[in-house]
Amino acid sequence: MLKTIFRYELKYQFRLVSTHIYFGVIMLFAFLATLGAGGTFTGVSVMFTDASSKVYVNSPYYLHSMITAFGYIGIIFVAAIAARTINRDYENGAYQWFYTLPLSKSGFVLGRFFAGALIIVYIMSGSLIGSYLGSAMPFVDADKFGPNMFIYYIYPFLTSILPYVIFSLSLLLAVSMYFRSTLTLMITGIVLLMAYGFLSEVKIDLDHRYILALLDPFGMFMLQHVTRYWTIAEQNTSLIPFEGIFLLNRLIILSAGSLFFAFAYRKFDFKLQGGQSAKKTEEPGLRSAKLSIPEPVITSGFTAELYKFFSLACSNFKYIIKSGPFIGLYVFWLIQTIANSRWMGEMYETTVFPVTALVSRRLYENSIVFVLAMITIYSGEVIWRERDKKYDGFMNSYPVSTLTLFSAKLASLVMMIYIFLASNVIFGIIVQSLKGFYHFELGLYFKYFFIYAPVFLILLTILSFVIHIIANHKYIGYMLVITYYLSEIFSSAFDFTHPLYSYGDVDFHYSDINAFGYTFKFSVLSLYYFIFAAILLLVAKLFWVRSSETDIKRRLRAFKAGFNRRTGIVTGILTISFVSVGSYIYYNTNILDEYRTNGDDETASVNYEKDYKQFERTPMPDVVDVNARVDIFPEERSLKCSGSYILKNLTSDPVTQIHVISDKRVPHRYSFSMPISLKNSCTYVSYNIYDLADPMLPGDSLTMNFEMDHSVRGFTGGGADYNGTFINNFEYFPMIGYSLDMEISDEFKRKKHGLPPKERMAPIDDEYKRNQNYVGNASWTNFEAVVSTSSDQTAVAPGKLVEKWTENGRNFFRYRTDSKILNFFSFNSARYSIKRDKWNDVDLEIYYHEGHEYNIDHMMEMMKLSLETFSKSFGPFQFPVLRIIEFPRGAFAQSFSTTIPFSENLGFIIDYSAKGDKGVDYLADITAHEIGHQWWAHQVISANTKGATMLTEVMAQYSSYLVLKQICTPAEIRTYFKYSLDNYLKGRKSERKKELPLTLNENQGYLHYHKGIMAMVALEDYIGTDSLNAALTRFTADEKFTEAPYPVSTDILPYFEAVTPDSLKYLITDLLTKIIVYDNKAVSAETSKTDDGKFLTRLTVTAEKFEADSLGAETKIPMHDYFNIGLLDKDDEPIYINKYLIDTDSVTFDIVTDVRPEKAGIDPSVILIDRKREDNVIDVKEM
Amino acid sequence: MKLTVKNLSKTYPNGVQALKNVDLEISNGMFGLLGPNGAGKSTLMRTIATLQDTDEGSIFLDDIDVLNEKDRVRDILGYLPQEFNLDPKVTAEDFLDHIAILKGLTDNMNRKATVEALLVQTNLWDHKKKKLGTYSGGMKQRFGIAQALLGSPRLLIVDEPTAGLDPEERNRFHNLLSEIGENHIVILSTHIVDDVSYLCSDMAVIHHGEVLLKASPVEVLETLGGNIFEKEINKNDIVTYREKYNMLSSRFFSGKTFIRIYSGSEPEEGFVKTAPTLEDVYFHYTKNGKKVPEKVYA
Repeated sequence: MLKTIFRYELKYQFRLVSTHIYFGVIMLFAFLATLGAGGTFTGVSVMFTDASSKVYVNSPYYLHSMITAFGYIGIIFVAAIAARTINRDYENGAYQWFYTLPLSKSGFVLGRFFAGALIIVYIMSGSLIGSYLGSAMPFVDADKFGPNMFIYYIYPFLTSILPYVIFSLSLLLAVSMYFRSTLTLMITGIVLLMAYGFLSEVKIDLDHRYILALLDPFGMFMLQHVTRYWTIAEQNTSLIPFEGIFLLNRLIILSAGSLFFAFAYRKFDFKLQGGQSAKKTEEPGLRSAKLSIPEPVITSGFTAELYKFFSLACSNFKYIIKSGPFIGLYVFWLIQTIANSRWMGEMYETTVFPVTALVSRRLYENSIVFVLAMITIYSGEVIWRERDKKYDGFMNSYPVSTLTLFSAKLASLVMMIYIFLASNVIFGIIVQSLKGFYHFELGLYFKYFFIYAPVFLILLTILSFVIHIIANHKYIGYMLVITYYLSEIFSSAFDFTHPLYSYGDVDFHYSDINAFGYTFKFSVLSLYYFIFAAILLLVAKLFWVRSSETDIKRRLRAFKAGFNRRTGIVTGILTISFVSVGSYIYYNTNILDEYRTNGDDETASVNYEKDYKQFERTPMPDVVDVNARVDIFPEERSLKCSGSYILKNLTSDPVTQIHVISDKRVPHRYSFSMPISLKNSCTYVSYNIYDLADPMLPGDSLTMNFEMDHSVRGFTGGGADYNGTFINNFEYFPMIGYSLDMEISDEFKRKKHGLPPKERMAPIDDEYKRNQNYVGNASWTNFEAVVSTSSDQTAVAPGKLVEKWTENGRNFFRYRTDSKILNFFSFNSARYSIKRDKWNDVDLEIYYHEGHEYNIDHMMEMMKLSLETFSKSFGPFQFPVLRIIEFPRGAFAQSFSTTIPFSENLGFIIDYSAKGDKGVDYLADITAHEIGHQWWAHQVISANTKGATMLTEVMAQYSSYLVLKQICTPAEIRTYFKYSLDNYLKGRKSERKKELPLTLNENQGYLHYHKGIMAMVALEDYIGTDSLNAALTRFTADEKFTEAPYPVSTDILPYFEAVTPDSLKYLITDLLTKIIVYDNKAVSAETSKTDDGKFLTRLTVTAEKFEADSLGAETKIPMHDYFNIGLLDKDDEPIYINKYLIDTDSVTFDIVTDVRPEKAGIDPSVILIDRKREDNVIDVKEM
Repeated sequence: MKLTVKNLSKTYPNGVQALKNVDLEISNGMFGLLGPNGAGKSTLMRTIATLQDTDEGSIFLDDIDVLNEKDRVRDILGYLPQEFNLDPKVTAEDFLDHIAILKGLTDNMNRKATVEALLVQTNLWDHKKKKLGTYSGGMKQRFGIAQALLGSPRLLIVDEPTAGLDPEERNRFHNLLSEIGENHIVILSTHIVDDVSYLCSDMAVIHHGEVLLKASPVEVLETLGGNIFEKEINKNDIVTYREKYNMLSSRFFSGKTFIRIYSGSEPEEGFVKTAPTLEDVYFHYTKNGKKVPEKVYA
């Protein structure tokens, strides 16, 4: 029986073309994705994971990720097959006779189930075949592929896809048994697809991520979790071991699948599933033969039509909000939002105050997937409502104009969007109240959710609505809408990004300081897209079916009939408006501004490098004096930069040319104090080569005057903002000499363009680069600037404010630095409030936005504590003033000499008392880090070679740690270590080129921040804070304000060695100049009470030490190292801690303590790099 | 009022010719459309109800060009489709109220009164707060009738309205229709011959898209006058008789088999001449697919 049904079903489904189309679609996608990842398409790189580009496209890790991802996308096909497998008998009514055949239930259900599963397996196998074919193509980049092993393909399929198929098919069958409708299945598919995608946005703290991994049906999060610390070498060679969480996850998924199947099996019945028949009520029929109906008063005309419109819109709206998918999505959204509400005041791993701006953004981000799902589902549903429910017959016969019917449906969708957004507002206010934050900005909520956010959503709704009308087939409609979403993802990869055809792409940003900023572009684009939407609606209206016949011929005829004079005029007006507004956009984007796609930028970069790379090492004079004048015009969003540089030849060769670079789109004027001639002016970047009439000999100087006109270009601002301008000289001033920043750094893009491989940074012994500092192609410089701005704003630049005046209704400020600074300076202007204080003789100032005074007192304290700590630890502070300046949006702080611009999100609204993942006071951390840079960059600047950030970022991290240690609890500090270790290990997994030791790091964040702090903490722990700081003080004293050649990372090693005992000298090499990974583990710990009332604990630990290469391949190396061995109380506080030398794999310690230890282990705070942090400590048992 | 259908033809994309040169003239009163399933009745009714277009021909309702001035038709139309369903989650009262607005009853008092009256009339008053999903087939049909009657339509098209109604309900509904039919056009389609004979002042038999016959039921009976015979036979002989005679129908009654035939001349022994019924007319014309001679109209 089972066999017969199975065979019949298989044959039946294999005969359907759609089966093979699904297979083909998956195969084609996998094929293209493989080619994309394999570097076949110029400028397009499709990566399925966070995998580094060093990971082979056919490596076991990448294939596992990709095949799993296709399983995820394929849920839609699973839904289609599930619908077909069980529901089709209902859909086509065949059940009435089919179920009366003498079939056994088990044979029928199992036969169909297995056949369906096999069909899905067949469809999913498209991903194997597609990716295999892709990798075998001759034109892919061979460097991106390793050996093509069959097992790499089949293994993920067997371990991940097969259980998933069983699970998802069972789930969908259960859903189908419960609801009995194909639509529900499609919706379940869509909801699963979106919800799962959204899960990646859900924040889960470090210790609980495994839960998500365990319960993950698709296996993508599970895979991420299991391989979170995998090195590139492992990703390239190892199959994901079928053990631990992976195995458990699959078992859970299979069990869940079986439960769903059991449910579906129980629900299945060879009977009519009327369900409601029992509830039917029957009553005697029509009451009386006599007609006694009052004479109806029938009105027509506009008012009546308006009545009809509202009645229809409300009817449709009620239908939407009462229907299952809406309620489901709404509840899901609610649960999701409640679960995430504790993160409403969370940003970049920090807790912030739930200000309305932030809560609005968080809520909107949280909602977007749900509202998109609603739009996708209901734009089809309202159109099909009457037809699906089969009352289109009389609905269409009522005296309601087609326009009313049509627009009421659209209106109901808009109402749906608004009610959902309104729920967001209510929720936001509740969250704020619950967090004890009562500053509700209702005006902002209104603008955010009722004006700005709906634009995109309504545009999308209209498009989706129109697609459904034109398609006139429900499922084709849904497929088309989803295809549109997918194409949106790819459009930017193909440079299809011009606003003229980026329908619905309207962006808005809100900042407390700058409000919505420049909204004119938003308005113009919205207008343009809405006109287009109106044209679409007009076309759709003409195609609207108000008939029982819907074949294309009739619809075309209806279209022709509907296209009357009035329609013609409206179309004409709309078209003219569309073209006019479009032309205006084109004029602003392409004529007034230069329109450049990513591809154009890439080409320009390629040409720039090809044409000018030859000058990289041409001797150039350095900027040794800056006298700047910056005029900021906030209300016009423009600014003018002018001034003069003194350029001095600091090289030992004569300088014959001066090369000046600036933004091509910005008009400039340069003049020089020596006879000079323009030799070459580049067409695609502003690279001007001037020939000097007489060469500048070493030590010679000249003056260069410049004027840069940063005016508004069309929609693009010149750099100033209405409130909260923040610019720096790199982008707004002319720069001298060839800049590496404009080169393409992506290895594979370079290859595609025939550029030679590029090192991220120069070798540490590169003599030329040692003469440049890390921050700019310039030496230490004097700095003076006059900054002007509008009368209600304050402008700030580095240095002491020496003069302030008003002229022509504008505010003027003159700033000057006494000490030399790097050629890197900022200008800020806004309507600031200012908080002032003093530390010794240093003026401390915080420039902040009124309303953001939450933290300024604490910030001020941290400024003082930092200055205090650092001047003690490293040497004196060099300036008479130090400022923190708030600027809109963004998420960073940047340290310039004397001035530290600080993003409003990052410091000013932080709730520093709550500690996030990082565990420590984040505000203190950033403040101290940036102030640390006043020493570690603005006093000691490294040469522009590998390892440069060792002397800046690593040291700034350490500086911050010195402050944190004073204000945080030991538990918080341990969390901070955990956070740093986690980030380092995750970072090396996605390393794009190669991991390097800290002394050779190439500006790699996960190294200089996260490994950097781990290394410094270890060093501090082993050699002691005072010794380490003494070394740093000596180093600072020797190297501050050094002129070329600048210090390199290894220059600091002798200072460390000088304070390190010989027995620990290995540490300096291990931590700083090698990549060392330990595998430390506590094996057993038992304690017993001794006769004198103490506790004797026997602890056995193992330790192994590995040296890793740049891709993470590890070699075990002999060990003669010291480790912290600790006994801890229940709060992880050490009762006993001491360092022991370990040189064998396993060691046992007997330790006597006064108190009974609860836990014990090796390196208990985990300050050494260890991929299995959690096994360092175990619970102590009774002996 | 007068509805004039001229030369109406319609072929579906799948090749089925649903209407062939249909000509009809319908005035105030009840008009019955009689024909077997698939004859084209519903197509014709949907076309008049503005829901479908034709390939050829015209329909005029007085001066209204039905095929091109659909909005004007909808203003005075009441339509009950043959098959329909209702939104299961809405209550009868809310839905009827909504429909009333769509029909232009924008005056709140008047609309409320009308909706109430109709609910009472269709005996749904006690169930007005119930969701339509809980309604039985008969109640749904009555709701359908209520919505069709809303707004006192001058042209009422009801497609197989009595399906699902019990005999008593059917009777009452018919009375209701004939009352409406006094001043308005009511077009009623059915394959139940009795419906037409009791109610309609005028009727047409439609088969394979063609109008085979149109006249008043009385006139129609005359076309068969004197040619209908009935006989009790042995059940096993039914095939023989079918071959031998133009057999219209057979029925079983308390274990006996009776057949009715159409015969121009006296048939064999045992046949008894009987008065023709509308059913005979129906079977005669639909079986033989014959057009009625022109003179019948006269």
